[in-house]
Amino acid sequence: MRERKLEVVNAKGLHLRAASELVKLTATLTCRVSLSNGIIEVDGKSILGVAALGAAKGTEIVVRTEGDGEQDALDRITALFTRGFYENVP
Amino acid sequence: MRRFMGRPGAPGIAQGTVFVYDPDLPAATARQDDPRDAETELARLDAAIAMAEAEILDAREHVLEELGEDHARIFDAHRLIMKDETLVGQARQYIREGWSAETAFGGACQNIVRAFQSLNGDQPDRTGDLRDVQRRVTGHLRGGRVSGLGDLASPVIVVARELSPSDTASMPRDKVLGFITERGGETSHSVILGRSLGIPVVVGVEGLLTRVQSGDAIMLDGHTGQIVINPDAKTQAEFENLRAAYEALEAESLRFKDHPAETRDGRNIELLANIELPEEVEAVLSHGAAGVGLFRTEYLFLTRPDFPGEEDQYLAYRGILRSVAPDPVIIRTMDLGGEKVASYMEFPREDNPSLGWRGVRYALDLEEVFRTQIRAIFRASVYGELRLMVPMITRMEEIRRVKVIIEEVKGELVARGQSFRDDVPVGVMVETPSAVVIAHLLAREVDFFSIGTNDLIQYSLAVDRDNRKVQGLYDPFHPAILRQIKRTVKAAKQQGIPVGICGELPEDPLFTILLIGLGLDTISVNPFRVPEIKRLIRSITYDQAKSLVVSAWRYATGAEIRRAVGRQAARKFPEIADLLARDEEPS
Repeated sequence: MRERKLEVVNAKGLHLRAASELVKLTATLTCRVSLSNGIIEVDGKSILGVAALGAAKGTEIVVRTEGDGEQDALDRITALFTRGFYENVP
Repeated sequence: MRRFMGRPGAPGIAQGTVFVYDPDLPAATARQDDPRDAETELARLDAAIAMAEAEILDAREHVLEELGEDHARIFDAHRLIMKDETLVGQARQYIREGWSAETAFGGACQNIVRAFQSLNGDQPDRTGDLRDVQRRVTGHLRGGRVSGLGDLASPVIVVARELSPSDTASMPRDKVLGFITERGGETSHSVILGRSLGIPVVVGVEGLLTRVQSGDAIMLDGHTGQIVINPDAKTQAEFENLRAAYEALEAESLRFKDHPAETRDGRNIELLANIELPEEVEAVLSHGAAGVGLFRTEYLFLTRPDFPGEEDQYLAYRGILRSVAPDPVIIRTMDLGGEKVASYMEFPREDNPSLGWRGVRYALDLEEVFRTQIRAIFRASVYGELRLMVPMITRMEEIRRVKVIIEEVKGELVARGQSFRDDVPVGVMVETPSAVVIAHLLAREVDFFSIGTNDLIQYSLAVDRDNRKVQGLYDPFHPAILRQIKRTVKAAKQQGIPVGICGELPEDPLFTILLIGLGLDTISVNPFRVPEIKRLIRSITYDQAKSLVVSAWRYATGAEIRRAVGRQAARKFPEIADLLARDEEPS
């Protein structure tokens, strides 16, 4: 299992559109993905789960990956967080 | 082919394709009685989700082309939501427990909505998106019967349980040929909107939604309330003839658009139009009304999330006064209560709303809201010929209090340095029996009367017009009604103030002749009825109308009066035989 604390950097937070970007990625992964905001832990492949985190800009999320390709998966998720889930990218 | 009768809402004839609009989500009571259907229901759910997904992909393509990737992304979210295991898994579980697919999916969505709402810092867009997804999938479960009115692509006839302003807000107005609703009366939104758009409306067609589907052919006659589903060729031809006849009649009436509403012996009637929405002003002007006889201000209160502010109201009143000037506009102050309530008003449930907290009673209890309206109206007064009218008066104290408030508001405007007209006439609606009985006293306090026929009849005859068991007793020709109008007119004349009438009654040609004979100065009707009423006024004499009234006093029942007066009118005024003939069958 891999784990990394990531910050939500985009202005609108991890709202539905951002969550859908994340889930579009995690759905292609074979490993399990979970996200936690310290209060609840959700399935990283469920858009409703991710949206339920209610993570606004600046929130820290602990991302865990477990299974085949867990390191690569974590890196790709990290890149998506860093890029702000393509917010405002046309 | 099937025929149905509803009640006429707005005049006109239309035929076209049905679009069933049903935004209600299924009630959570639709339990499957037969558990063996669970497999069927699961398959239906899967199929509906697949169809909804295909629809979303289409929409995504469309938006991508028009608005770009950023806007298209929300559809990815919708697609992911409807395939989300949390949601779909729960819906499947509900189905296995014996619920229908609609209820199961709806229930699962509601759970998520509730979960979101309980979160801190919930962003409203998430629950909105969920509802959208729910509506889409549920729509497919019902065979594509649900879709927003905003999506209409080709002209249709909208069939709905009832319509609210929010349902029609995004509706492309050129894509609707008519409205038919199961519920609703003459003041319902579909009727008002239909009239302002000049399209036919039929209301009160019970059970229609279970008998039509989107795509059926349908014809409606907004004059009679008749509806025909999947009409045969013969019936279609009949409707076409009818439509041609109505159009000819309307064209004939419009010839007098720019002439005064004056009887042949020279009595001038102030013929005005009732409106509800600012958009209707156009129809008032184009149909030759001499102004607005009733501007209902309720829409300002019913179409927003909170009481409207002074500035919003001021702009609305100013706009109408300006476009109608130099002709008069009678603005009626807030007539809320009864069925005219919005959720933010926190209205208590009443056992008997028509005898409850409504009209001026409500206005005076919510004095700050009322003052705001009065201020906005007076600020707008400098832009036209304003008259102010107060609804639902039953006691002298009410109008006295209103007048005190008006004077105080004027003082505030002076203090603020804002201009207003000091000569605005203030009148009351005479629409309760008590107002009629004290009309001679009220006349000393006010500058004009306007008789509101709908409520006056309801209260006098103790008849709820929406109650099918008694609606046949709603009889404007009832001797008690004619006598109350006579009494009110007499009180006004003795005090030297003008007296008018507004409501639907003046739209009945025979009744209008009696109204003129009774001495009414002002008649205010729906804008689309103005041309024919003007033609009627120009075809009769005041003298003969008076003699019809005299003969009406000889009869003891509404039916006798209608028959006798109708026969005499037809003899005396052959020019308007077409109008009078249409009137023969009241119920």
